[in-house]
Amino acid sequence: MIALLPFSLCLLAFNCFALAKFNHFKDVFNKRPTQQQRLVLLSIAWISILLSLLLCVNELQGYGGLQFCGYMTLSALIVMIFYSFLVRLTKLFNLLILVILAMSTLFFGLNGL
Amino acid sequence: MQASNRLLDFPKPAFSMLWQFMQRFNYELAVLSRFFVAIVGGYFFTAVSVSLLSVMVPVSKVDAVLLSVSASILIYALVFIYSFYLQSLKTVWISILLSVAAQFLLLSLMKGWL
Amino acid sequence: MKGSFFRSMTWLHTWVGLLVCWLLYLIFFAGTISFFRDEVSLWNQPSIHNIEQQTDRIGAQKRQIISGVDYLNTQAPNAPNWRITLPEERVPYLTYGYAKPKEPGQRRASFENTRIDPNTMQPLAPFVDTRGGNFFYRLHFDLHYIDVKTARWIVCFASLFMLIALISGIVIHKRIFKDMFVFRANKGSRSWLDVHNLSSVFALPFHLMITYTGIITLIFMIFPYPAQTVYENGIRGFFNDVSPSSPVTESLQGTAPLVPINTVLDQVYTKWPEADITRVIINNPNKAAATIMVLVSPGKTLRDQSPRLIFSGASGELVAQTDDELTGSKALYESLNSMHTGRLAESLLRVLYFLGGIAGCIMIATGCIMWAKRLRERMKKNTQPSWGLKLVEGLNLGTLMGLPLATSAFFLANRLLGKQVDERADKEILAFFLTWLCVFIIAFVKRDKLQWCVMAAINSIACFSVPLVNAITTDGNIFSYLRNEQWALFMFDSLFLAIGLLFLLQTEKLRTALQAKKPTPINTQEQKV
Repeated sequence: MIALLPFSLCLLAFNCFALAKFNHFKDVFNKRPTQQQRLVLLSIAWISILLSLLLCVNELQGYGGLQFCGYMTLSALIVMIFYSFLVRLTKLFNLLILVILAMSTLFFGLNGL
Repeated sequence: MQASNRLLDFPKPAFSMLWQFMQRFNYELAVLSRFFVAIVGGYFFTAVSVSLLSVMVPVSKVDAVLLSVSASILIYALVFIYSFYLQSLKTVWISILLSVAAQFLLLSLMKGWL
Repeated sequence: MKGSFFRSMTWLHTWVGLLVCWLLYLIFFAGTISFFRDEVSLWNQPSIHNIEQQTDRIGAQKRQIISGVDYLNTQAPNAPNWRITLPEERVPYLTYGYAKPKEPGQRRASFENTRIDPNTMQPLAPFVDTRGGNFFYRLHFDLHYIDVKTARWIVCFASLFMLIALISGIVIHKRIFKDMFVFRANKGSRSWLDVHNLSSVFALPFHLMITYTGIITLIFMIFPYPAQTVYENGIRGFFNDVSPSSPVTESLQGTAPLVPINTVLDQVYTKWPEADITRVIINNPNKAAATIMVLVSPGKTLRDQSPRLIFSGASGELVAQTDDELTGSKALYESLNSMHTGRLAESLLRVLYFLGGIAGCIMIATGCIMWAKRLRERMKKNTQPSWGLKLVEGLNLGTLMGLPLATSAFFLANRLLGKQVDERADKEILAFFLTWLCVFIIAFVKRDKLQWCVMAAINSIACFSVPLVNAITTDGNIFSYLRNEQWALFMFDSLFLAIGLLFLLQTEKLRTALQAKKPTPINTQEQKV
């Protein structure tokens, strides 16, 4: 379960990268994103992906690096499936990510540190 | 793959049949030539540059070999792309032949083969 | 310059891709299966299906080694080589083996192996002769039926072309992050292009890594030159330097009794208290030149060469060992190798590796199909397809539908061939290649949508029959695997059912497409014109 935190951070990052694109933001929220919203989304994306990398490598060095690449691949796949095929479910998906992230942060806080 | 892939920038030779053959298949011959220099030329370039690297890096023998060998494919890939990057096929051939020769010369000097 | 570079990269990407895509599909297909070669070997060998998971695998190793040495000393005290292979996470049985004297003309001595259930320490039921997962592992770089060295050169160059295709693909997919999640359904070759792009991009780090590191695993064959330049005795000199060896001990003459293995093991555990020993190899036992090599698992470190300690068999003292700390270059080389073989990957990472491999197969398959579709779209109306188009379409059908069918045939052969058949392993492999050949023959006769539909249906039936035949011919089945928590076997059977379903979906999709295209009187009129 501790592995869930770096993975959910990765998922959040790719989700934000996707939302920062005009067409995907429009699909979910039915309006164009403002420059500021895009900036916020991109910053969240970059911070969470780097945090994810840091957590992975801190845990298991080289093996962690490999795991990070694996998480990136899986996250990219999941985000890609939602935004290409299940566009109507993306709002729910976004909510789910936040819930998983909150849970895994809690787990991490209670056990990992 | 347009203008500068013509191999035939010299005066018409006596054997007109060969000339006609090369004219007709000019594009295909140019393609083959480019692949040849990329694959074979790239291989020799990599071989000689990686050997040169292994004698030049200031690490132990084992490390030198392992380091050169790990970098070899990167060099090969770059030379391969280079062969398709330049417009002029002539330049590609000349630059690769010259650089291989120069590196081999340098390597022979360093290893005392000359 | 930029426009022209872009176009030359597009041209290059298509050509290097096209020259080797079918071979690359084979390599990726077999390679992806190889990530689970231990599980495949397990499925292929019914006598080891019911071995229970050891409760204390590492703790039992000392005992197993001691009894192994005793056993081998009784069975073959003068064999040239003893090998004790301990159970691992994914390989549940224990092997005690000794080398039989080499026949004239043999390159390597064959082994007499006794396989033991580590829980009861009793010999297992005799193994059937099968290559198991190792067939797919070897297939992806040694190919088959051709000389190994030639095969490896071919695979190396194909992989180089793959690397070039990846690099040129990145260059031409300039909108790599802009268009990342675009998919346009039902638009002919454009849809295939989108799937091609998606499958390439989402697993791009994996593709680049696996291709580059793949060539690195064979690098000393294609570039022995650095070793030859730096070492006087060339590549041999290099190999002697890079692996720990014990030339002094090995040159001693005469006989000497083997030290009690306990003295050796105590030294191992002093150095590495938590050691997970994988193998113990004893060369020239009961001679003065005897060496005892103890290999431990590198665990989750990025090392491909197992850390090992080499002891003199006569005196029990340590004579050689792998480095504790790796230099930068050694670490680089070992990391590259270990990243490709992925031996360090445990369950989650291994599944991710498998996912990457599948993405690679999809990338290559969609590339092949897209090229055939493009050629067809460019074809002028009412002309016959060129031989080039026929070749591409034939190879597509033969490879993309043939390989899965051949794989099912391999596993069916494993279950259906009699246990005592001569050269059984070769016959299973023959079943694989014969099936593939049959699909190729069909593909070269006719390769329309109908043939694709039929092949998809056949594939579906074959996939469903694998777990079925398994249930009939062994005493386990997918439900019993679930009940007894035999996860590897359960996943294997489930995967075949899932893939069978996918083929069924494909059959349905193609069938409806065929029905839609059925000629009506108006259509045939147009075609006649």
